[in-house]
Amino acid sequence: MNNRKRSASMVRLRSDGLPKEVFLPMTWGKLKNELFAVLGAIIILNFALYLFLGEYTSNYGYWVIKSKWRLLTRLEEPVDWLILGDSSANQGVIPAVILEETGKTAVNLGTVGNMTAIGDLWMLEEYIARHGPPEKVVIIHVYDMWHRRFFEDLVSHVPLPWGFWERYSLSNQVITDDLHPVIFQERYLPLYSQTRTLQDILFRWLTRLDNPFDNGFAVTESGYFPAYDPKPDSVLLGLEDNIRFVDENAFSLSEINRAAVSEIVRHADELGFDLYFVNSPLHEDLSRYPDFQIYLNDLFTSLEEVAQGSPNVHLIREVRGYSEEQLQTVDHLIDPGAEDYTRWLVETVK
Amino acid sequence: MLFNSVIFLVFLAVVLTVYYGLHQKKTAQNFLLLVASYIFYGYWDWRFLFLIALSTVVDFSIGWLLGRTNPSSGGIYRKFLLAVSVVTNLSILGFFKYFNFFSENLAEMLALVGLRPGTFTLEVILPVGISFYTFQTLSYTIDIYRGRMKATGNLLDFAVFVAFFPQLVAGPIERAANLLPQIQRPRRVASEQIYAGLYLMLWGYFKKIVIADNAALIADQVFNGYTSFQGLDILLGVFAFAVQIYGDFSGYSDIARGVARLMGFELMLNFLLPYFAKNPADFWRRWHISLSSWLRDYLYIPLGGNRHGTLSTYRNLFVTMLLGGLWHGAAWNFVLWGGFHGLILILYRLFENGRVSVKQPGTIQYYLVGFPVAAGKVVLMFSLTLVGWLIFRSTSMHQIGYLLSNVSLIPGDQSEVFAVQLAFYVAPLLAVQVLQHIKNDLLVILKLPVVLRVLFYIFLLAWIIIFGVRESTEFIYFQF
Repeated sequence: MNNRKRSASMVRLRSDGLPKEVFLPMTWGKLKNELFAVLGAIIILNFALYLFLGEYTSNYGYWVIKSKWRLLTRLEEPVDWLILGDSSANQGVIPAVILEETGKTAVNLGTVGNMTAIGDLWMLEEYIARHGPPEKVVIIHVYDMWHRRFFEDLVSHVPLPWGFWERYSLSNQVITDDLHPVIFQERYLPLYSQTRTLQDILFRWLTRLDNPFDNGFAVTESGYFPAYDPKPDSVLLGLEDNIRFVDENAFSLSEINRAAVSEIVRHADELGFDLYFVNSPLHEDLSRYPDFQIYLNDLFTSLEEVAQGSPNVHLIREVRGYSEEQLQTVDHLIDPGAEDYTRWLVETVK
Repeated sequence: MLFNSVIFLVFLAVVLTVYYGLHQKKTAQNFLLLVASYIFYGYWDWRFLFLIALSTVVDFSIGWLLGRTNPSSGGIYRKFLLAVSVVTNLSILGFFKYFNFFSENLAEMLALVGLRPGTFTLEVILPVGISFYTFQTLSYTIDIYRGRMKATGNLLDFAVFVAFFPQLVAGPIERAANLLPQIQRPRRVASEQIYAGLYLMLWGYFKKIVIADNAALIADQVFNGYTSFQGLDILLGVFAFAVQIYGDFSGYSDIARGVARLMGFELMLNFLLPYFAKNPADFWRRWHISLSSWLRDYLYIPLGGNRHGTLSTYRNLFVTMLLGGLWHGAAWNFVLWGGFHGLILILYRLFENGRVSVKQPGTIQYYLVGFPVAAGKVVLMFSLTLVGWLIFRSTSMHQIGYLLSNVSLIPGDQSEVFAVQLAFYVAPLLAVQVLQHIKNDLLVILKLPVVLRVLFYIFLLAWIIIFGVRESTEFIYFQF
């Protein structure tokens, strides 16, 4: 009986005894006000997230792209060595060690592999436009970057004004008009497009009280991203995947990487700087693995074809191997390994 | 066409634009609603339209013929007409939903006595929502037969009643006496209805795509790979399913009711804080109210209800719940689930006579006795509900046996992860429902100061965008 009373009082009953709610009066004016308030707040929230994620995104790739482009565009003095490439370069080359070993200044602009060689080309062109050609350009990529396509949505995370890509080579090939809405959405509607990142930040904030304004990422002034904790278990798991990859795949150079390398080589020839293509650091077992050697040989054969015997281009075939205790993934070093890798790089390049 | 799909939102925007443009021209609006409803339904499979049209024509004709007879005379003829309606509707439902189930089980039973006739099954597609609109149209002819309402002479109005797209595929199962008069009169959509409609839709989408679809990720893991889980992992998996099915179904109902409101219609409430129920009877007054009240009015009471003594009442309860279980699907777990609820209804009737007096809130007796007892009852009923959902969601007797024998409070490998995720998604729902329960008011949110109310809407919308599962997942009750 109590239940029946409670149920009945929570709602009204219709003539047939079934429940219904009775909503409160609402004028058109109040309805419009509330509707606009909610939609307006969502737009403001979206803008706030645009600003917030620009600084504190928990997405490593997006953050690295933003940070490195900011570093490039804020670079006041030219450098001697320009380090380009992917995250293995980002985490593997210490410009301070280069300075210590050679007395040459350097900046590490390594971002992520999915930017492909297009990322290298555009950063190089931006650097040349600002400071003229450097003495040396070192491009470091993991072996399995060269077959990839360009991930256009990453362009949205480059912190330059809309349409910035138009001033770089090959932009008409990689950023076609139909991609503009995708880039716009990814760039300006983060509330809708970056939900995984937002979920991650909100979930960790609300359940573990993690500070959303501290994503734990930091690069040095010269662009090196130091890491300190080895992850041998995940390295060994990744090693299996990499071995399977080279077992099952023959090397192929993607068209966009071929075109980008060709443009970079053209710049080297025209401006007369030395250009080095270098392998990323790798787990030692992978670097010695026979199928990997075959894959790598094909890779350099392809790069040689693109370089067409240019005297400015140097292909470094050697692969520097490391144990799982010095790595976080198969190709990402921790700090002591990065120091070793940079010294090796200096010896190889200078 | 799923409510949680872009195509539906576009469809709704087009329908509403044309609908509002018709300015209370009732016939034109009804024609639009019928066309829209058939497009909505035919979007799944155009062949389903023949069934719904058949059901419409048969029940309209029988209703019309019943309306021409005198309820006080012509009893056999009226019974014949009613029988035609009932047999036609249940035959369609039986064939499409239960043919293979009965065929397979008959073959298995014959095999037990040494006969091996071989199974005869057909590749029958289950038309979406058939159980819902069949019950809805049946209630029309039964109510006319009982003299509770008059037959309509307008086929268009009746066709809209049967196919009204907001509630066509998963209810609420409306009564003709409530919905048909709304279809028959001109409708002016007031600002209150727009506001209520938008609120119900927002809350419904939140429950479906934020709460239910995320809880489903846990429930599916546990139920689909059940042998990998033990102890508390299983309990949390079952809890996740309880959250999922409530969020999914009540979310659908709220969206349906919200869409209907936007067009000036009022549909019945289908859920009334069911997990706050204190006993099985209370649960069924709060869960899927349109079905439970249908079963009460058109099955339990005609069987005799509680009018012929205790044993007869228990039998009627059990049979009603068993058939209610079977209504959900052609599988033994649904029958078992119905039987389980029938059993606990009977057991509560047997043992819940000694009531503890619950004092008014605010008194010492209430906090010392009333509240703990009431809370204990809610917890006990919720625990029993979880047992029911375990049976409901399982796909085999082996699975039911495994889960029941391995569930415990001992943490498993995934318990912490599951618990944190569930807490994260359930917290907003729980906060709202506790407030509704304490204030004894389902619309308590709408009575908050405007700033809080708007903040709540912003939260819902932002959470839907950020945490909503983007892939359009089917509503659980579509399969019924």
